[in-house]
Amino acid sequence: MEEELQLFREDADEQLQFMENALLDAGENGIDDEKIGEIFRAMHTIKGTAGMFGFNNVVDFTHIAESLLDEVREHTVEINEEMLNVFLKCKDHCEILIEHAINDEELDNDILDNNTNLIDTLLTYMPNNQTAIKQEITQNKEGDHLQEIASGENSIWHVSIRFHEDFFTSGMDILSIFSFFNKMGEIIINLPIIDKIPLLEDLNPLKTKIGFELDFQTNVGHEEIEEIFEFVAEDVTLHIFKHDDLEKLKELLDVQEDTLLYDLFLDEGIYSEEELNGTSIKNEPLELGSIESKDTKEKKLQTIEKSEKEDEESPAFKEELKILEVKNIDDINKEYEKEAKAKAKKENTKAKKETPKNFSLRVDSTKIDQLINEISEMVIANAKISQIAADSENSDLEEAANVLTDMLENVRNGIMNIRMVQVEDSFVKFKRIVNDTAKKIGKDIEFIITGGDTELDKTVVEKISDPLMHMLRNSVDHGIEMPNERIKNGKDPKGKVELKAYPDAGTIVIQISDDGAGLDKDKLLQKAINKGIVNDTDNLSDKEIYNLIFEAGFSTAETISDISGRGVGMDVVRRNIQDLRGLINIESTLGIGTTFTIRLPLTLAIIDGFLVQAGDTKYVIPLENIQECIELTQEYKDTMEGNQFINLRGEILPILDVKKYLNMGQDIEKSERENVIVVRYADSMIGLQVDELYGEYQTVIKPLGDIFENVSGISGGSILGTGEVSLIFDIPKLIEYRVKQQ
Amino acid sequence: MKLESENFTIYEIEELKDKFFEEFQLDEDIQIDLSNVVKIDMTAIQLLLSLKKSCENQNKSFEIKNVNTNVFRAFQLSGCDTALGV
Repeated sequence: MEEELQLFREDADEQLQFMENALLDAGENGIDDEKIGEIFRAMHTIKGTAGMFGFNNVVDFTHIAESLLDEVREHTVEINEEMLNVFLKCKDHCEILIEHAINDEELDNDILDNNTNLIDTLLTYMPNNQTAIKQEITQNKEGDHLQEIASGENSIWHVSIRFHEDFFTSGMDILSIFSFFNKMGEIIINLPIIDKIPLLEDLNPLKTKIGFELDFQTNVGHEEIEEIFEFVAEDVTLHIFKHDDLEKLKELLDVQEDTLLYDLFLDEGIYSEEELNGTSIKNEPLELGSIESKDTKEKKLQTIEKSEKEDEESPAFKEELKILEVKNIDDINKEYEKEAKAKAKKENTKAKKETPKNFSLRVDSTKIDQLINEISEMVIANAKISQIAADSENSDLEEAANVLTDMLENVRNGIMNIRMVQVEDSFVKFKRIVNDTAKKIGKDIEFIITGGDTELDKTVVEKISDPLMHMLRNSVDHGIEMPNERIKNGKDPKGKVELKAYPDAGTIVIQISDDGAGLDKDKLLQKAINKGIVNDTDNLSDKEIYNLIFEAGFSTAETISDISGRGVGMDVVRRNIQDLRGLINIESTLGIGTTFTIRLPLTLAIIDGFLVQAGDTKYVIPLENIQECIELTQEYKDTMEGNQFINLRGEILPILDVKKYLNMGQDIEKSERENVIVVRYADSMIGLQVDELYGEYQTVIKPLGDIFENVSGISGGSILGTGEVSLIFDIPKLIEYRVKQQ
Repeated sequence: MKLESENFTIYEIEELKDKFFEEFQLDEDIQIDLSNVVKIDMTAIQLLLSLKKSCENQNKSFEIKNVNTNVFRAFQLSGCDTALGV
């Protein structure tokens, strides 16, 4: 059961997210048919799948919403902004209903009240259908089955179901599938196929041996019937066809190879001998408005057949037959027309529905992680091969090794790319949070998202989501002023919050900026002093003062609201970002606004590095951080005059001697040539002084273990082709250290 | 034979199959009393069908007694009411 429920939950979450996006988009850019379609599909799909699990609360509620949306789709009800808000509430409510249904929890009174209120609100928009649906709700409560209110024509379908042996253990009860059939229409005949069920002594009660042949009367189509089995599609063999499609019937009889099936159909009066032999003249689809029982159906069929054969009956009966016949042909014609129209309409909407959508595949992320892991090992193995090839002086081998290296890099990039997702989806959901927060506290805010197509590792996106949400709330709550205050300051009463993402120097930058009041340095400092976070004798730079807001227990809000301001949060935000090897920076101007800049690495597991040596240890520097390499010539040394700076084309470049930094001692012989690698992170640059340069190197980051935990500036280790260990520099940390030294 | 538990579903099915089989091996006609049962699923229906088949095979009579409304509905829904003779 767990697996199906999990699937259902994922699917429902996705549908609800689509729905929310469409609603928000409609609120901003106007409503169109496509968006309505998306909202409708969400409710429709959830109703369908919830029905399979017997989640009646969810089915009943989504059914009402779906009915209204259907009217909106048909333009019999015009949608307005107020309704968009109601649908947003419906989406939230649905989420709660689903959660409760999955956890098998009773709904409390608040939820039930909300349920009733929302249904009442939805019904007020549907004057035409109110009574019908109300009746339906009461009927449903009484345990009667729920009939579709759509005005489609009823047809009879034959559904043949055989199950995979292990169907029972999949957790889905066949009875709930039948219950769901009855919600979409009515099972007129359900014929269990029991010939495969063994005698008791041979029976494994967990293996599914039973099958079913049903006649199902409904106004939904083939697709919808098939959808009932969406979650168990792999475990069933289905034949779904219109009851009177004799060709399909023949196919079924051929495939099932059950001679028994032929007799069964005949004995139970499901099909006549003529129909089963494919010799029946009555080959046209027969649509019957309603069917009381199989007996009457049989009679009608017989009547028609007989009248066609013109056999000898009493004149009076013939007369009656003629009337019947005429009526039938009239009815059939009319229904044909109707059906043709409905079909045309359906095809029309279908064509609209099928706007090209990217095909996507849902894969368990552990599979990709596993693949990345293997590739990482391959990179190491390949490094060894390259090393051997280079030492062998065999040019063919060397060339082959180079090709392999290139291809491996492509594969690696491809796999890493699978993990990359556009930040858009994750960003869009913030719209709701910003809107809701703003509304709650009476602020008017324009929320702008740019660079939604920027790609970032899925794990990173997930982990950054909560910090971003918190920061956005902060911007709305503390950053933007109240409208009257903004007018007083000569600003547009509508505040602006912008969420921006873009790639920069091998990192991804995410910025949150607002045009609010800005951070008040004096206030921040005073508060930090009062709280004992800093001493009043400390001489802090602007940046350091701003960074105070990341300290635990620091809240600038004068009144604590339920939105933000509890003083937990910003420290967690910073920690989360640091865990992702990212950096956060604040810029603010009093009265103008505040910008938070988050910098995140693109990938987590493998990096392109540059191999160098200082002393007798080899180091890897992430290639994305490297600006250039220069030789530390005597000329530069002269300008240094004992300081740790060089003059690089008129700019001062702080130098960090790697050997000194890591206490490798001075006793190691200096190499003939000394080099400086200029590295950059965000806006800072330093030069790393090393001895040897080896060149580009693909590197797998391996954790170094607890002993190295406190060594700042080393982010991990890597195994070289020769089996030697190299250390990977953590450039941001090194820069931070060197700049602090200044 | 009277079923003790309220549930006659996949969770009880293996145990009940063994009990049914013991009962079946006795030289008696089979009567299944479902008065305690309020919940059944398709595994139960399949087991009952198999039992009935075995009875027919050995010319024993087979009867299901005291079927509660819920259970009866389930038999109807699956179309097995006639096949089980309830």
